[in-house]
Amino acid sequence: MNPFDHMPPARSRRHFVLDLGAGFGSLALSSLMSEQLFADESRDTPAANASPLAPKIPTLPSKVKSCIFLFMFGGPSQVDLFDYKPELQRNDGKTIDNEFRRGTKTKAVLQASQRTFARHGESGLWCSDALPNLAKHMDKLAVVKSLQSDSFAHGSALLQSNSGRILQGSPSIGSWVTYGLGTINQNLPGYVVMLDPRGGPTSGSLNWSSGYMPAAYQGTVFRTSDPAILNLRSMDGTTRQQQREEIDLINQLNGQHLLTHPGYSQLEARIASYELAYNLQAEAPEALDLSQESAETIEMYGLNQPKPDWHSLALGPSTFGRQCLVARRMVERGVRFIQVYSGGGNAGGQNSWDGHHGIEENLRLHCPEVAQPIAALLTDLERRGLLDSTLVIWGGEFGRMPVSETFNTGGKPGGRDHNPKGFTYWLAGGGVKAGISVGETDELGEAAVVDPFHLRDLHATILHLMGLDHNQLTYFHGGLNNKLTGVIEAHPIKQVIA
Amino acid sequence: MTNQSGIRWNSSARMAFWRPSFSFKILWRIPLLFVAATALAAEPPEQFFEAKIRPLLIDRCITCHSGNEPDGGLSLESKEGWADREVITPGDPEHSLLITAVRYQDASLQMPPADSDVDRLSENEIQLLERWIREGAVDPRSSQGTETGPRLRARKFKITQHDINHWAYQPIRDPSLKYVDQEPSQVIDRLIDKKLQPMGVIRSSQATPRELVRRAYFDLWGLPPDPEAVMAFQRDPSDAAWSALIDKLLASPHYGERWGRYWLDWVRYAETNGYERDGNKANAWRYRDYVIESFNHDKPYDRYLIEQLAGDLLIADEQLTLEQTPDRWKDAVIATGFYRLHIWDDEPDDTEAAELDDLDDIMVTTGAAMMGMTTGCNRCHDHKFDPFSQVDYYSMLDLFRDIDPYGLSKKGGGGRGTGRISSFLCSEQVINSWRAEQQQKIEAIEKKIATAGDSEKNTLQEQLKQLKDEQPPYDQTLAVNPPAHPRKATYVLARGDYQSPQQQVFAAIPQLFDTLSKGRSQIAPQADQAQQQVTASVTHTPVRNRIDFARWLTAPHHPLTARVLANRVWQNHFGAGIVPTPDDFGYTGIAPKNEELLDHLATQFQRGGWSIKNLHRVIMNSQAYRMSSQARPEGNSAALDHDPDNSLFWRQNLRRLDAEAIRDSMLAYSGELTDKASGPSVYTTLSAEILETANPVSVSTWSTSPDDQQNCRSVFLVVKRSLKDPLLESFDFANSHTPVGQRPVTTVAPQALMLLNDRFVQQRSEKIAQRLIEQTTETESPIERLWQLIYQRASTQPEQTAVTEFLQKQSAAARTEHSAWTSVVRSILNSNESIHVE
Repeated sequence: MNPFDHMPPARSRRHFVLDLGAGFGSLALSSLMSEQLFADESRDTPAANASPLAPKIPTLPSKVKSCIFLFMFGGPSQVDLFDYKPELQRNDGKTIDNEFRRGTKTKAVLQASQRTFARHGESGLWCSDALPNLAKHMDKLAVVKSLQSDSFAHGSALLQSNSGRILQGSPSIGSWVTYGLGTINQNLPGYVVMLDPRGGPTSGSLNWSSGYMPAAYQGTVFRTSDPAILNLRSMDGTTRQQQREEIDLINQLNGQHLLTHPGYSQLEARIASYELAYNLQAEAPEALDLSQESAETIEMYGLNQPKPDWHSLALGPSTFGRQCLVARRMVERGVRFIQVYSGGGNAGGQNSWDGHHGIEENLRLHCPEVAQPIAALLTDLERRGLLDSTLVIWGGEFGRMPVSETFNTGGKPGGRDHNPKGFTYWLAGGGVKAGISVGETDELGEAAVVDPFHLRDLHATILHLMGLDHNQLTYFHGGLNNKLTGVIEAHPIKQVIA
Repeated sequence: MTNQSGIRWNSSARMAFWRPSFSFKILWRIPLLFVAATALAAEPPEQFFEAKIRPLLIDRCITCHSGNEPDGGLSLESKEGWADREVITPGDPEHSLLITAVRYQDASLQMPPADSDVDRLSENEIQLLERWIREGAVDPRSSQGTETGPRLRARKFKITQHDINHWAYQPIRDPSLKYVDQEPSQVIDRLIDKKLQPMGVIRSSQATPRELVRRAYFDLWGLPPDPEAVMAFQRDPSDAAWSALIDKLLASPHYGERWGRYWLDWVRYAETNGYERDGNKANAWRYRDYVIESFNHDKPYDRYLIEQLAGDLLIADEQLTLEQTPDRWKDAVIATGFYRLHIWDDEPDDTEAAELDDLDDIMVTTGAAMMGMTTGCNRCHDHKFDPFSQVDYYSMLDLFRDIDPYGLSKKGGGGRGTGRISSFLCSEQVINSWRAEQQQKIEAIEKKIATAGDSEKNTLQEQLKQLKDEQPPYDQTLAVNPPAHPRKATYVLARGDYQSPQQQVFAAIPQLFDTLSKGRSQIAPQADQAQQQVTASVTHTPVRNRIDFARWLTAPHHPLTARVLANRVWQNHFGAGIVPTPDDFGYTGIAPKNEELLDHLATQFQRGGWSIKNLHRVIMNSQAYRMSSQARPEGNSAALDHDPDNSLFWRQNLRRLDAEAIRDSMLAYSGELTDKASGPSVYTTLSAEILETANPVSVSTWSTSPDDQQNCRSVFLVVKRSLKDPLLESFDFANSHTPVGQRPVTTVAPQALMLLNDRFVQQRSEKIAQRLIEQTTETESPIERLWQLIYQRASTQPEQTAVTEFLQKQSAAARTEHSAWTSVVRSILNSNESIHVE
């Protein structure tokens, strides 16, 4: 750490180099303007590797190039999906003391899962019939059943899942990863977020914010419908030809201006950013162009499945499937970090995994939306040889209680309330020890008791698998070297690392 | 340290490059001759270290023995680490403590600890270590970070001579004494020259009149000049005309709209609470208006700080009343909204911890904004670099315990109420008589209910509920009220955890300042009661309350307050501060390269009665401010060589406009800028793309303002923490969560997309194009009008050709004249010249 690491404003080439967070990198400027503009200069032109998002070498050995983080917003119910608890099944209807918010206990009734659990594959890992397609892939997963976090509330729990802190203002994990590793394709954002069409998660963009880091590291929201990115195309129907001509005019004006303002690299950076924008306009739609995919692939991801009509909120697998398929295409195109949300809109309703008002209804809504797409994604990555270089993570901001909830439902049973004391994540792909289960909750599935891990340990694990040491990846802000994992000691979960 | 790509690593990071490719590189650096000579004997020691010892240390030792607080104070991350603790005697493994420990030869020193879950080192591993030590313990790793960076403090906190000598804690010295016959503005030039001369560098020449007028307008108003203003100054570019221009700009309300916004960045102003519901902070805009008005009225900065830190106490202290001193009373009430701006979680996991989080937010903001001090660290432990202990932190925090907390204590799910965070802007009698009337109405209905039939009862119940919920119809503002609860005691909290209270502490200023005043007897020539206390005490000087604290902070000899503000003003006139880290004047900040210049400004600032407008005049009337942002064609090569970053200010800096100036300029060009100068905030129309991706909670509280109100200056747009105006956000608007002394200036492709394709830019371009076409005269072509409007200059031949050719292409593509000109206008608005100040 060094005080000179502070970034003064962009004034020199060096600062340009730091600040050209093109979002999407840099390119040779000489192609933009007449050669002679640069010919007489002994100055270096900004090289592609000078962008803050230029690819960097991981500091730990790792083959992983990309990460897909499948985020089940609302908090998926571990006791109905992966964390099989025979004792809970046996004690259905019994009253226990339940801490439903920090330090606040109430009498509550145990609620057995209505799901049927079975062991799957050679590993014999448990998975319920809520996720039948995924169950076939258990041998690829490392399931961590003993995660804990610090908040019972969506807002702060989401922030902690994404940024390590329950308070606002810190960079999200995708920002940390792109800060540490840069990104491979400079014509696409390095950190992409895809949202559920039912809305963004609680706190919206703070979940993919770069916090106190420069905006170059923030997530870019990518829609699977056109236009994919905000303002990707013009509002008034300007054609691509016209846009090119406008950019050419801007370049001509800027070229004249640059001649009379030598030595200011930020001017060149702005000129470059227009070419990048122009490239992005072509590359972003291309990443979305599923006409390049085979019919079999489209079918596998569930894109042809109709929207179910039994529930007004049901989407079926086609939406999340499309996002998973686009995620795979992004991996192929060198996007570093991709987060896909399942569930969106206000917390508390069945529009997310927040099953207060009936866990069965919630599972019936959301499990079919994700199970087939996730299974397809794992299959697809594997058969294309991408699974070794892609890390896939699945989880939410917390899990759910083994008891029936009445607190938020006016006394109506059948739902489950938030539970940050013991919940499940799984990892798959590059560097992950496949087919193992780590940690356990108590016999009712309420709190982690065997090998408990905090979310910060999960974050350390993700960084580790991507080739970054969580203790060494620091960013200086507010008088100290900040880490994703914060000041409390964290350790990668060794058991899930191959 | 920073590598080329701008990434930051601990000093230990490079050590992690132990993979084969790295060892290979190391090998190549070893002189061939040496390799040849030793190849038969043994591996070269560096290679042995890279191959065997570095991986071993990483695997077995570094987890604990690294970082800022390595176990046992022993870092094995660098040679300095183990050398400092003398655990290795190179050449002599038998007398190396490291070997003793790993061999378990001493029961009191066994590594890894016998009770840990880590296995003991194998015999093989130990022998490797012994061999390494025997061969001289060659270790190429160096802890460069600690050599060039700030020093870590000793574990036991104590103020050292090193601290007392830190530049920022020195008394402010007036350098102008050496320049008696010079104006304060001229002294700026002399002080800059003094730094440049030894390097043979001369200051840049003066900027053109056009550049100067644009610079002055954007600096003071955040708006472009009209062409006439430029022409007038071109006709008469005298010093007198320049001073008159500055006075004119400072006298306009646009000045406060520009500079008030800077303050709002520093105190992370926002109008919502953040988190899940991102609830509104009702009437937060009154604080924004207070800030703008304070700048416009050039309220003395010391008064301004005292009002914000202790306005509620000031009312009693100065006996301010609504009737007798309405303006001062109102300002004192509204200013305390400062304490209500922080993010606030209405559903915290732990309300006790959340209350301390809120206080911490206030501490961090007060420290950064007013004192250039980083205080976040010492919440959990003594500051690792700066001379501020954990006791200092909690003693200062205790000052704020008389503020009724934001948020009602409530456990369990769902949102909780905000508590008493507002105050009425009318007299208590008015409120009380309204309440009495209301009570009569309530009682009347309750009487009716007692006798009413079932059907009537429901209607009456509803009326009753409405009456009870009704708020007095008088203006309210975010404010601090007299406390309703007994003041909580403050304890030092181990690791910042409220469940681990240590000793109780009482309101006090940090010990450092006490040591400084004792050492120098500097504080308070005109000592009032508070300052007498300051000098009387031995260690933590108690302060009675927030007024005393604020008065101490604004006492003439406080080393930080005036410097911090003077630096901020300079920064926004040059694009960079004399201290490049405006929120951090501690060891982790960057020291000024021209301390005298900073002290001169701080002195002038105080001498001018803490007048910020005076400070603008001093700075802007200097030759330095009026320099060109370009290097002289001849003669500045020395400057480019010695100081390419212009940290000594041998020229002005070319600066990109900030988000607000970019947006407001477009409205100014199109003639659509409204004259809104105060009042509730405005919500712009958001695109479908934004609405879709935002959380519905944010969208549902986004009450889009009527179109004719949306074209106000950006400072009047709502600052909602979970949803920002995309144009402003894209151009690095303040994050509004933490104090931002300097916004980053990023250049990213989405900004280009924003200016090319956004609806707002489109609409402004259409409007400007329409005006151009309508107002074209025989004597002035649309190109000329456009160039004058946006660049305030004539177009050049190549520019005319470019536009003409562009228009021909559009015409060939059968675009209408208006549509084609809209494209031209938009291109100009996108150009570097239009969004940079030279």
